[in-house]
This record gives sequence, structure tokens and C-alpha cells, in this order.
Amino acid sequence: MGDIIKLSVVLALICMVAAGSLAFIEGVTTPVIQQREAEVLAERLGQYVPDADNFEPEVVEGKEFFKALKGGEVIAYIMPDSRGPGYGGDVRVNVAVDTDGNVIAADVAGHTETPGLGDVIEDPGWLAQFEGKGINDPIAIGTDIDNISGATVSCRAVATAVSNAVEQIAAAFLGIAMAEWDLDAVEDGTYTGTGTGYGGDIVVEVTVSGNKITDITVVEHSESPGFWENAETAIPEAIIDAQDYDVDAISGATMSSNGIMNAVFDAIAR
Amino acid sequence: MSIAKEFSKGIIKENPVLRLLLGLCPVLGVTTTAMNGLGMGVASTFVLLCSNIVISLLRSVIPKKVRIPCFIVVIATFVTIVDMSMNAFLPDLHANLGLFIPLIVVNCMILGRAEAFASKNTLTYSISDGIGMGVGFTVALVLLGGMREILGAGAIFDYTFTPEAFEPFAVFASPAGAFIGLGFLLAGMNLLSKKLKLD
Repeated sequence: MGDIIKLSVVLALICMVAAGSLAFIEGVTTPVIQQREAEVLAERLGQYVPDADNFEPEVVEGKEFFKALKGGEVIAYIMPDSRGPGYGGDVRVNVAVDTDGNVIAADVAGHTETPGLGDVIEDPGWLAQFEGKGINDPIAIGTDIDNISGATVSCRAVATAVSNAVEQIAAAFLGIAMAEWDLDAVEDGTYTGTGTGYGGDIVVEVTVSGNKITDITVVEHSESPGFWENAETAIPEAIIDAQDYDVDAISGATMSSNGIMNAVFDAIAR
Repeated sequence: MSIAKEFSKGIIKENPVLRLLLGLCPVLGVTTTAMNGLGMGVASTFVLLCSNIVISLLRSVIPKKVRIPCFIVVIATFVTIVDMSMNAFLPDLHANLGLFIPLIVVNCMILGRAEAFASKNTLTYSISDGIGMGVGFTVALVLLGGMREILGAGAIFDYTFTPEAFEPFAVFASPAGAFIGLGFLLAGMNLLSKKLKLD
């Protein structure tokens, strides 16, 4: 019995001394860390929006954003630390968006991807492809943004983080909601939409009558002959059957199929 | 038993990485560049030295039955101190080493030295053992990191010296390269120990 008390007392004393010294060191280092992080962030914010003369933090629903101000007027919004799941953990991306909801800068703030493979996502030239993408633009790796071979998962993580940031900023500040598929709200008529296929843009005309899609015509495409024909009629038929843009892609013409689906979505959702 | 001998044994004869194969997780994980290897080596050496000092001083106080929890608390405290100080004062290195700093807690080299040496020996011997083992660990990390940096990135300590036509072996920058590189180092060490008749 006395033994147990002695063991506990010794262990507890050691733990108390350890906790005390950690509390002391934490008190010394935390202000330094916070100050440095703020400095790094401030410097980066200035690079994203060079025109801005001031940055103001604002917390919306527990998330921290920054407003870039020029002469007291907001010219851009920045979401720091938007996350996407990468290969070695979350990839953290800082995204700056202008007042129209278009990306003006995307920058990888931190990641734990494989050195020599996944770290190519830090390349400014590659990140520049995100600039100009808006809330309703598809941001898909491989079609809209070049994939980097050997770093597919890392590239996708960045794309996820960017679209996430654009959506959150649009919802928090711009009052822009995501485009929605709602046939009941669509008036009768013919609508034009664009999607990206394998060889470039696919443009479709969608005819709606009585809140139903009655016809889909492909107006323009530059897909590969021999593959395109598989999707050309089958996908529009399937969409009209289902009254939904999200149908099974045709094997051997996946990109063309997805292009038509995105074009139909684009036509109806706006 | 002499202080100099306790110090020098850690560098060649009982090198923790190349002879005892202790603490291989950080050895394989962080050695993508020589600088990372050096940073990790110095951080581990600091923790090892401090924990050896404290454990050696407390060796008559710590009851045998709870010695492992006591060692771990002491080690974890110093690791957290290193983690926080590095984050504050050496942020670039901290960003590179990332997860591996907290993992020093479970580096079996440190617990191994605490259990096998510091808990049984006086302060001066424990200090020289800690420094010697730490230097040996650091040397091994820098060797492996340097090898991987030269082959995987064509540079050493961030200084690119290879001609532009040199295409780096990407495999040496990836985890697989760590195993291959460590294999070569161990082979070299075995050769050396045969020559020096260490076994």
C-alpha cells in the first residue's frame, strides 16, 4: 500500500514539474509564433491583392476571412487556409476572390505532400490556371486545370480547396448561391449551354417545355471521331429519359459524355 | 569506463542508426535533404542530452516500477519544448520537419539510452553518452540526407552544383529512396566495422 502511494507521488511530482516548465515555455513562444504567422499572412495578402491598401479580418460562421480594402472600399475577399484532402494530409490553400466571385489568386500555404512529387502544386505557373475561375465554372483537374502526372491527388486537393473557398466567400459576402438544377423554375424555351469535352467546348441547345426537357441538340463540338458517336445521341436520350443531367457516361467516350452533361447543366442551371 | 570512451562509442562503434538500428522512423522520414537531417539530428541530440541529464539526476528517486512512464514524461516535456521553440525561432526548419518533431518522443534511441544508460550511470557519463549518441545520430542523418539530396535533387545544403543536364533521380527524394540509401550506408558501415574489427 505504501508502495503505491510512493509511486503515485513521485510520478505526480514529475508530471507537475513537466507541466509547469511547459506552461512557462508556451508563454514565451506563443506570442512570437503568433506575431510571425500574422506577418507572413500580411505579406502574402499584399501579394494576392497588390492594389489594396488595407486588410481587415472578418469572422463569418466561425471561419476567418480577410477583406482587401482600397480607399475604404472592398475590392477583394481572401479565405486563408482553405483545405482539400491530399495524399499526405490536408493541402492548405489561400484563395483571393474579387467582388464578382472570380479567383484572382490561389496560393498553397502549406501541405505535407511527398517531396519531389506532390510539391509541384507549389508551382506558381500551375496555380495561375485557377485565376479567373468563378463560382459556376467547373474546376476539374484534367479538363479545366492541367493535371501534373505523378501528383494527381495533390492537384485535386488544390482544386477542391479552391472551389471550397470560392463557394464560401460567395455565400458569406457576395450573396451568390451555387447554380442549381431546378427544372420546375425553368420557363419554356430554348437554352444554350457550354461544357468541356475531350477536344474542347461542347455547346448544346436544350429545349424545355412544361418544366420538362424535350430536346437536346449539340450545336458545336470538336471531339474525336470514332469515340464521339458513342455519346452523341445516347447521352441526350438518357438525359431526356431521366430528366436529370447526371446520367451514366458512355464507356469509351467518358469525357465527351461528361462534356454534354455539363453543357446541359450549364444551360438549365442559369 | 572513461568519459571520452562513452562519448566516442556513439559515433562509430555503437552508432545508434548504423550499428544499433535505433530510431529509424525519423531517419527514413526526414532525410530528404542534408539540412533536414541536420535539423532533426540537432533536435534529437538536444532532447537526448536533456533527458539523459534529468534521468541520471533522478535515477535514485524514480521507483523501478514506474520508471518507463517517468522517462516518457521527461522526454515528452523536452520534445514539446523543442517543438515550441523551433516553431517560434526556426520556422522554416519547423515547417520542413513538421510531424517528425513530436515523434521524437517515441524515438526508441532516446528511451533506449534513458533505460540502458542514464538510469544506471552518473551525470558526467550520461552527458557524454548523450552527446556522443546524438552526434552519431546526427552524422548518420546528415550522411543519408546528403546522399538523397545529391542524387534526388542534384544539390547539397540547398546549393545546386550539378550541371543542368543532370536529371535527378526522383526516387531518392521519395520514401523508397530512403530505404535504398540506408541500405548502402549500412553496407558501408558493415565494411568499415569489419576493417576496424569492431565485432
